[in-house]
Amino acid sequence: MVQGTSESEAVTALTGAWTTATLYADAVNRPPFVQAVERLTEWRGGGFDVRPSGFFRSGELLDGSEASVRLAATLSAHGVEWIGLDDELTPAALAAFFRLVALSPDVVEDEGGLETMVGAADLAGITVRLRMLLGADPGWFDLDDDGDHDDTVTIDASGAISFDLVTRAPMDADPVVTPDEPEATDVTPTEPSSVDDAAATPTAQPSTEVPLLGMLDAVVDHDDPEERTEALLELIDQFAELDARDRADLVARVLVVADHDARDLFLDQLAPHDVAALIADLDDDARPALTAYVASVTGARREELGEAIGDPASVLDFRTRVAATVQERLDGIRATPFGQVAGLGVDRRGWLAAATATLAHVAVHETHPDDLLRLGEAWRELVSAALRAHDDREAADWYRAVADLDPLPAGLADVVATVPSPDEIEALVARRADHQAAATAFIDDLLDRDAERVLGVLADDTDHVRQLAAADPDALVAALGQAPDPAVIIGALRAAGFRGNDPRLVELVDSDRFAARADLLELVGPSLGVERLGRLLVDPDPAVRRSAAEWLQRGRTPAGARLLYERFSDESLDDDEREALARHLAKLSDGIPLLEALVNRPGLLLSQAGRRTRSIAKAALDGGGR
Amino acid sequence: MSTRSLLGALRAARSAMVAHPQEHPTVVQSVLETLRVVRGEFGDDTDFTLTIVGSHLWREREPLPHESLEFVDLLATLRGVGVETVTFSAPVQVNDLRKLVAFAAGISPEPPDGTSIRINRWPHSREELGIVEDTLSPRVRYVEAMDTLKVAMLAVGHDRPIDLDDASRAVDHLLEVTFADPAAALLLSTLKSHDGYTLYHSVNVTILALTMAQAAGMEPEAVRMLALGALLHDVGKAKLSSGLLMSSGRLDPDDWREMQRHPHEGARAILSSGTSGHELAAVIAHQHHARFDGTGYPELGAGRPHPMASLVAVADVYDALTTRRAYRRAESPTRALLALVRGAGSEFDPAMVDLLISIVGAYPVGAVLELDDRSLLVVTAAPGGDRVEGLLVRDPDGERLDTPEPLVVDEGRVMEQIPADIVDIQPAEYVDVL
Repeated sequence: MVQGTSESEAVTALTGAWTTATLYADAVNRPPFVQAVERLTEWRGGGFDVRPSGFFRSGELLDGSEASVRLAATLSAHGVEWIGLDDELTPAALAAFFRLVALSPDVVEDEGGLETMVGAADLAGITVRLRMLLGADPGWFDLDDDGDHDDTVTIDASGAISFDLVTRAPMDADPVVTPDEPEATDVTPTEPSSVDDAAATPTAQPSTEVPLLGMLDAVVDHDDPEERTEALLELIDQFAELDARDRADLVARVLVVADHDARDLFLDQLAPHDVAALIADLDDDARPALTAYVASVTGARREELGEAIGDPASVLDFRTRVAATVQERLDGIRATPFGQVAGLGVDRRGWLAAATATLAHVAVHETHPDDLLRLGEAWRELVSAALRAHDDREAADWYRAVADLDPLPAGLADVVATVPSPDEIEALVARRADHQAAATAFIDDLLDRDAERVLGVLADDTDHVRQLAAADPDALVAALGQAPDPAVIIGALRAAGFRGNDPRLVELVDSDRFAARADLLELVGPSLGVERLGRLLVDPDPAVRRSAAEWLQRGRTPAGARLLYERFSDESLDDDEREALARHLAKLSDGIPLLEALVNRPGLLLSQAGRRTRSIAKAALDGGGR
Repeated sequence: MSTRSLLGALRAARSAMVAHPQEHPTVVQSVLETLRVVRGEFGDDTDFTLTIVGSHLWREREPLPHESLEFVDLLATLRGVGVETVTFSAPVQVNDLRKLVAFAAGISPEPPDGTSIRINRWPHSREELGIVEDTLSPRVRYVEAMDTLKVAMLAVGHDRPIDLDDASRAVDHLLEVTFADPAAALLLSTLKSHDGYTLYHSVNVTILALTMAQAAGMEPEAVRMLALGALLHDVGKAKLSSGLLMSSGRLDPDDWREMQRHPHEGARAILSSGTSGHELAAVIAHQHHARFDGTGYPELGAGRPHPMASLVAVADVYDALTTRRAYRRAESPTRALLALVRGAGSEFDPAMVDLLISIVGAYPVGAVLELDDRSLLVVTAAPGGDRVEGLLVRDPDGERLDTPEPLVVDEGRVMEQIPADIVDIQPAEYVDVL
């Protein structure tokens, strides 16, 4: 770290500024660009070596992101081998510099090269130095495929780009060693490193020791967990390829020379039987360190290590000890077939206790208010679902799971008040029994399913009578087309839980003359199918469009998501409707990737409509469709 | 990794070409970068084909799990211009690559017509890719389940509800393929990956749980509940920091406490996502680290975990032990079973341990066995007597056999069982040979 900005951060800032400059003509006014310049002026490092594969200092790659490699390669194409930045740098100068960089290398060369042009433009705070033999490769896009010019650009199997030294000037003749490419070892899967006689003692250095110990140190030093893991896996791969003697030698060296972090990290990778296999070869220097390691581990691993070290044969002999133990158990199972395992049945009552206990446990231990609220809403739905299924006992069990908690989590107190209590559930059960009997009698009386009579009953002032009428959906459907106020019948059908796929209703949804299409659509949406709902997304009636979109979302099908996305992509729609469509998409597993892909599409930023589209999509994603 | 790099580079190049003139340095560099990836990652010796069907993507005959989601825009664009397959023949020529990018970007109506990049050649039939009359092979179903789980974890990570209907559909598909061919499914469940560990692991646990449920004679509805819980058992990890999940060192007490929250987070997310019918999945997620003796986390005191949670716990530990992790190496399948046997009655429900052993036996499907002549055998059949059935994949000199040889050997010839990753064998790749 130098003056608050590290070398890697400086490269990241430079790359970020370049990216901004390639996107916006007025980059100097863009906060990311200005902030990047500020960070660069805080850096006192002087400059970077530039190679086609990235920015380097002291032979070490800085910030290996794709963008920084592209910038470095672009500078290299102009023959730049070093770029200097100092605290006089200004946004205007850096933007002007990037404009020069964006020119074709041919043009720049004709003007005397980038170094000359930078000097002529008097760009504050920027210096570039070119290679002695400048040879930016002109017209690479004109390369033909027959090999005539292929020798000018070579991309080898490792991905490194170089240029032919004779027909074109050299771009980067030096080998580049990056942190991801550790110095070559002589360890290969088919050619394990050899250890001479003198190196056979545990404290001598095997041929692989230095690279692997170095890799171990590098692993420990990694700050980024992902990089640390990748490096560790690389180390384990190489360790696994060693022969047994080299492994023992390396472990001995690790125990003696590595610090505790590195030692623990390394030995934690070894299975107990591996440790047991190694232990016999350790000398007096290494053995105490291994003992200290074993003492530092806890739990089952400590037990297994102790067992393995005490009796290596206990875990080493696979066929007679390991497989035989499992086989013995298997034979015992065969001798006494277990048949059906207890408790694995589907009986809902059987697992309800576990489910309600889980809900209670989660409620008690939830710490985040928002999560607690969501849990409360889920709880209310569980009670309601049980009531809808006429399982009153289950409803009461769910209720007690949370309402009986003592103390009741503060965030749930309000929710409790909205959930029917067991007393209310009991009263509801009684009412339901009355209603059921009355409804049965009423249906018996309606044998002829007289539409006019149904309409008459539905117009009754008494709630109870209307509820009874709703008990005969078929009569209601027949009456719907003639009803002066179809919304009443639709409400009755809804109250009756009617979700049937009745062609008479589908016909009414498609009829221009039917006044309550949107209401009806809310009732029968799922029975229409994705294709028909998709057509309704362009219906002249906004309420119909809204309802169709709602059902497509609730259908949760890939085809539904695609239809919503296609409609959302229509930039001629007003913002309100597009926002609603985006919210639907943001609730769908098939819609989220579509929106995310859209948000990440750079081309959107080029037009006002595109930016608006992106903004709507992003807001929907951020809000989780809410 | 390499296909992801290629798709990323292609997407960047297409974006650059949409935004800039073709001579712009950004375009030039992005196409060059794509060329670097193609040649660098795939070498100069081999040809390969990418196939796009719906939202699924294959590299050669291998379905790819994550790319289909991360690069959905690129795949949609390619599908939109009629591209179903792209075949790269080494050495890939820069002009062919530029034409492909321009075609995908909609700048040029002409598809690449050179010799190094060709489209819509279909070198592998739909049947070879596992697409048969609207049904998909076990391998594709496996990938589909991973994709579904990935979306679920994204939802949990962003405090959004899980689409339990989607998850249930994925579970149904896994159920179909597992019950149809348990041995193939078990072989598939040996797929391991450090990158995306939780996704692979959760699907493997689901397959193991399904085979255990089948052996136990569970009713279909119960199996579905169990499998949904198995698939989602670790979904709460989406609420933990990636640093914690990727940690390669020992967890300090604070980290450990944080890690122990994932069953809680998973249960809450599942409960908050659905209505009635999915609660057992929440129980399984909540209790899969609870020990049979009531300890573990969460502590259940005198109570025992629900039997389905105990079943998933056994499958969970078996798969975890046989997978190489950042903090420890893989165990061979039988050594993992031995660890379960040792823990039966304290950590694990003995009935569930027996259930797993009855399925996988001493030489589990997918295990790599070293025989007395040092050749390597991949087990492909369920346990049966004192003979082991499998495919010979390496000869005594360690050379890989181009055509694996079916072999039944006496148990006495087995010398050792080796974690597959140590000898760089992916048993699941032999699922097509069965």
